[in-house]
Amino acid sequence: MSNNFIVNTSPHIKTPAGVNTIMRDVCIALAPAFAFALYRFGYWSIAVTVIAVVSAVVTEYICQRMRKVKVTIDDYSAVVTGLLLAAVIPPNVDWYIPMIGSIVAIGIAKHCFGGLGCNIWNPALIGRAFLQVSYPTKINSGTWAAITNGKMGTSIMGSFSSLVGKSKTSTDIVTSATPLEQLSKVSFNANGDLITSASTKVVDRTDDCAIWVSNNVIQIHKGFINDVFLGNTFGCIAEISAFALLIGGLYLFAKKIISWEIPFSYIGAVALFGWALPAPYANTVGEIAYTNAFTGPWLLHIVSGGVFIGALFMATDMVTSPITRRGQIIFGLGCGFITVMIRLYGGYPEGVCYSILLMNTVVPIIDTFTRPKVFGTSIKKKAEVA
Amino acid sequence: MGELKTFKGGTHPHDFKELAKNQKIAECDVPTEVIVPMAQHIGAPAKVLVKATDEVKRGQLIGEPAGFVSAGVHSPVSGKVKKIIQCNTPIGTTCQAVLIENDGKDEWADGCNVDTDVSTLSSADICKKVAWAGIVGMGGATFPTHVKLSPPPEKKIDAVILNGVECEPYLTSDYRLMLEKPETIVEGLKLLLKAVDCKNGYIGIEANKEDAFRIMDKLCKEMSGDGITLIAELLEVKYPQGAEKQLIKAILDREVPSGGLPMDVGVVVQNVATASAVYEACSKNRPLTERIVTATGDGVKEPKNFLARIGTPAKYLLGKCGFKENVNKLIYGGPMMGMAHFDLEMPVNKGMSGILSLCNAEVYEHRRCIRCGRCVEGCPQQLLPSELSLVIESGRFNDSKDINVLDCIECGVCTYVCPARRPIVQWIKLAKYELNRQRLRAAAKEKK
Amino acid sequence: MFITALVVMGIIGIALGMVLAWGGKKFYVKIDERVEKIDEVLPGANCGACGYPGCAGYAEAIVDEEQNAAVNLCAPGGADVAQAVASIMGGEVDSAEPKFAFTCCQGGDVETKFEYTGVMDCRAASLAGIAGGSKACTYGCLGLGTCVKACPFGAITIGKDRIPVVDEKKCTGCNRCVDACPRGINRVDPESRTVFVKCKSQDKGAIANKICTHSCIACRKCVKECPFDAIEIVNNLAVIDYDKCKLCGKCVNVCPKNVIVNLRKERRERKKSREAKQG
Repeated sequence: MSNNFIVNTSPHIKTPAGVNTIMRDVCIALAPAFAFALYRFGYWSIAVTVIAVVSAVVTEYICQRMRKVKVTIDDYSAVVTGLLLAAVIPPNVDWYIPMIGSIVAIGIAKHCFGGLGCNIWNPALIGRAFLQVSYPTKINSGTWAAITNGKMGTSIMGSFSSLVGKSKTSTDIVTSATPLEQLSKVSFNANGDLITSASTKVVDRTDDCAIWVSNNVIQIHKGFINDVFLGNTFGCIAEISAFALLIGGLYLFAKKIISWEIPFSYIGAVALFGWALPAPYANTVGEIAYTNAFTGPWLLHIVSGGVFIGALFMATDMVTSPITRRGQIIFGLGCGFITVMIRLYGGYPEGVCYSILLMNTVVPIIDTFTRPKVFGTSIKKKAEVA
Repeated sequence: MGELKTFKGGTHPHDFKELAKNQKIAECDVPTEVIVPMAQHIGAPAKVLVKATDEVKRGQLIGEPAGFVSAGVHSPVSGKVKKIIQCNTPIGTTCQAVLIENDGKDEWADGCNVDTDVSTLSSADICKKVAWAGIVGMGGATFPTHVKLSPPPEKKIDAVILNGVECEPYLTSDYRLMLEKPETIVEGLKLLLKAVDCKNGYIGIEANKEDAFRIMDKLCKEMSGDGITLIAELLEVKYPQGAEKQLIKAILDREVPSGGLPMDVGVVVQNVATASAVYEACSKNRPLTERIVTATGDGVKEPKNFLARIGTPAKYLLGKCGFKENVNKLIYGGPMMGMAHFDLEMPVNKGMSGILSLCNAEVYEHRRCIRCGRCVEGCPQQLLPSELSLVIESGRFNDSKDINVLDCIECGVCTYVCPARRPIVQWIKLAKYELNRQRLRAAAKEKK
Repeated sequence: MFITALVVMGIIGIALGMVLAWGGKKFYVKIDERVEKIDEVLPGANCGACGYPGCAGYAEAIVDEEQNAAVNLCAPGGADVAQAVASIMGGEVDSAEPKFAFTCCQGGDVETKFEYTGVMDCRAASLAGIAGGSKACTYGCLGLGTCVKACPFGAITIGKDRIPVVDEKKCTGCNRCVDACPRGINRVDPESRTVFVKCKSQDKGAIANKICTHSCIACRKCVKECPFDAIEIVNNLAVIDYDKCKLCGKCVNVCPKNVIVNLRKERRERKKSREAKQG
């Protein structure tokens, strides 16, 4: 009988929350965003997601077999990586794009560094960055104008008319790009027609355009931010609806899987710098001009693009974020700042992916400088001085 | 109610106190044979004074303290010594023990169980009585109490804190004691104050024991006076609120320096059960021969709080609660810091506040740290347990010293919250053990 | 443009080079060349068997007049290295005999007391709070392989019965496994010492007999058999006094539990083949 007892060191009880329950909760938290994607983009978006998840899990299995370590595909971490990768690629890509992304994410970004817990960068974002440099035309949204002309079927056509609502002339323009690209890339002529998508040029416009510049201040069409927040816009599979992501984020807060530090400091920094920094644009005569500082469309900055998925799901990835609360605030602020810098002055329309990857890189330094003060050590120093 | 006093860090495990919370303290009848171990305290084990066939009476000294940091052991029953045996201790070592056959008469030895007026006792008398009665810290640390009451003269004690926090899940022995014998605790606190010549006494109680707090609060207010202030403090429900350093931080906002002792900040901390034992020893001349033990967990049908004699085998107590056959883990003490053992025959000792039996203890396999930071947030000492675990796992014991491994109080919060199920506390214990071994080796070399 | 770059880089290069040259002279630390020579001769395993911090540390300690370390402390290097070091230091040395580790436990069918979970390391498993290790014998090998990890030469493997096996071809007698073992199971002895008591149990005979099939039960047969009075029973365990022992091996034959072993045969063969190799 006594042989049956288990003996180990204290403590003898453990919290129910294990790695697998945490990862499972992240999957649950992503559900609203993917449900919205199904509604907005149709079945192919879910097919892309399934391809990403399945190839992530299979890659994880193969890598762990090759590394001769215990296979832990049951901990959902590969599923989360697959979901997050699918979340940040466009819905209309070919089937092999999510597959390649997942293989890179798991195989290179995760297992080359030693598997879960050892990776330096967020695997899903490495996957996305890899796809972005390898298939720029498929990943960047420049090609999306074509989709809207019927290729993706009615789910897009149906919803896109509600996009900016009242506008007839700007419809094509708006559908040709994500809101972010409107901010920095798309050019209009005086009639509101798209002239080129390459240079940075926004002209003064009346209110049948979603975004325009007037008196060196960016103006936004009434209702546009609302649309963007709810997801009546274009973007990647699960990042378009800040609202759906927020629901998932609140679930993670409630489950105490993420703390407030990273999301708040991230979104706060995006709002702050988006508001404070002058944005470049091309004026009516084609010269580069800057909007006034402290007038930026901060609300648009935080609800558009990948800020919500970045702040709630990507930057909060436990493995690649700082371990102390103070460090997490620094990390979030850095992510926010770099995001805005890339958006306003960089070559890419969106900076969330690279901002997080860059900040992931400096996490060890942040950790070094934000070590908590050990209990009882401050007093000792005082005593020594005295 | 405003913000409750507490410390930084900690966690909230489910406390399972509902199992035994409402069970009144039941006097456990004495088994026919008791096993009295000589090592029931930190420090040198006591020296056996009796031999087989000796007649002993209750309260008779059967183990003589071996040195200053040691404590005497008294016979918990009257009867005949059967033999001297080897017996397991909860920490995994073995020690000498006296097997006594109980004659059922329960006769006290000469000079024991005689009432004394405590007000006539001087400070030195109290210390002497405490040492005579073999009282040790009854919260589990089992540090001899008379040593704590004799600080070096340069350390002025200005506060005595009684620990009624009982933050360990499952255990309810201190709670029941506070409900049922509150006077003995407060009287004991007054004696302790007198022993260290100090005016301020505190009793810290967690907010999940509010009824106990109300009783203690009332008594404290009644019994203050003569320049002595007694204060009962209600503290936030958080593990490890009852850890010495954290308790001092919560109540007095003083930080015990790294590597220091409570007396470095002028504080003596004692468990409420210890205070009660001090009172019994001083007022009734009763050495420590019994204590309150909670027998609980899902491995017993009816969890109970016993007033059990020292030396009662665990099996005997568990048998009285309806021990289940499918128990797979046996823990002496609480689940966070107690010791798991395989030996059901292990006797109740002075520091054993609970015997916990679990039916569904799980075996975990650990994996890599996922850097979730929960251990960092929970660590009451503000260490980085995740980093420590990685450093020690790779065998870099000296590096772990630089990141304050020696400041760890082994409370178990990090290991409790770890989603990767990493045995962090065990690694830390390993590092401490290895560092100590290195130190000893270096010292031996120096001598050469 | 090209010329400018060339000139600028050239000037910077020359300037920095001069600074370095000056610094090299100014901050030159005189190193005894013998230290470098000895360091080259030493095996470079940094095992610490000599008692100094790594091979370089040992090299310095030999040359340093205050420390005056002996030349034959390098266990892995053995006689050859000692000879080489001695010649650098300008002297001769008694040839150092090779040393080997030996595990004083045979495992056998030891009862287990409970299921251990946690860190798979002998030291961790023998910590306070683990009820004294899961094997019923509190003196025996725990078999979790701490010595295997500690061995810098890969000479130890966990064999059958979860007991370490020392490969004497690889073992250099560096003492690492001795230090690592929490139960002091391992010992290191010179090659010529071949008779060992392969047990550490201090349990009383009856108990030891019950819990393990290969334990010393203190039956005193070996004590009586030994013609040189080299064996005595200390704390229920046969202990050989190697000052008296003549390695006759008579005790090996009388031990009822096969606890005493004699490695003479294997060692002689190995020595032969080793010497044959060295030619």
